[in-house]
Amino acid sequence: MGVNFFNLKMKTYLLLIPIAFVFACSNISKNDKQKVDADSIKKVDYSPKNASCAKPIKDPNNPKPMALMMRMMADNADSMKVQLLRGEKLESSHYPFLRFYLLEPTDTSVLKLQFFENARLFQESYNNLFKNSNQKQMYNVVIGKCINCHEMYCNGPLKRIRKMFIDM
Amino acid sequence: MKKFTLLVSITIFISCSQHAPNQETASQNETSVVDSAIINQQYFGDRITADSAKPVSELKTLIADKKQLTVKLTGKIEGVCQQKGCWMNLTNENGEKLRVTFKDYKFFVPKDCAGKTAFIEGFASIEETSVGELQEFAKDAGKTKAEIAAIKEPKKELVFEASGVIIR
Repeated sequence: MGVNFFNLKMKTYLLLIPIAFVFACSNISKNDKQKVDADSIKKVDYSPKNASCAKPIKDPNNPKPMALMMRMMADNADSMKVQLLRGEKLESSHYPFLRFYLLEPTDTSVLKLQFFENARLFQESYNNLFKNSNQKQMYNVVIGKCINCHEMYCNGPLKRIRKMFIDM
Repeated sequence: MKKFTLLVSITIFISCSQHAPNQETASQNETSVVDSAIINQQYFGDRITADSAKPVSELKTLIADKKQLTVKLTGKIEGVCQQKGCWMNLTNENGEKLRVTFKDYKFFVPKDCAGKTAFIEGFASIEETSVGELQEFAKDAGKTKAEIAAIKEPKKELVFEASGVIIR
């Protein structure tokens, strides 16, 4: 009876050893799996290579309507310059005047008499561009009006606007 | 013998199941700060990489007696244009500032990115900034009317025009 009881206890201990191994090893493999998962996450999400999937941002600051319209005007001026350098005639129907001065500006303190006078002079030269036979020269006058106003109110785009001039 | 066997089993179990994850957690913590910065980085303008960017403090040495230099730099953002995000100042450890504008006024950075790290690629040059431009930069930076009015001389300074920016 005593021997049988001893054998039973011994068997229990012997059984405990492999169980402990299996349990411990399953934990190791689980940890390894977690490590692999973490590594694969790093490879997929954390690497600078993958981060480069993000698209470049053009303007993160919710630009005001006048600023957006002026970007359209700048794109139009680029397009006009290309056409003029090709020797083509500019048609007013392709480039209708955009009433930027009616829209909300980035800095509302600019909305004073001088600003609207500048806008009037700009519109006048813009209309003349399509009436005049020397459109290259008149185009440069229009660009000059942009510069005059931006020197007073917003210097930021001056470098870009100066590049719009056509060398005569 | 029985106690010894039991002790061995328990030791193996404890060591395998607890020791490994602690090491893993520690290494994850070390990398998580850097990785989260990389994953949250934002791109502006042309797609650039952060590789081999030189500290802003080295720019003066790099440009030496050259008037201009194409280079990739990194530094802490000290201030940003509060009107549109159309320029930012990077600072070095001596507190010297480098004003960064964005090529052709075609992209901007978040107005609230001061304190973050920027990587910039583009064109460094020594230019004279007019009184009007200096006053406008001061206004955009939120300086007082008295501080703006105190600007009466143009300034020859090192400036940077970035074609691409990473902020993290």
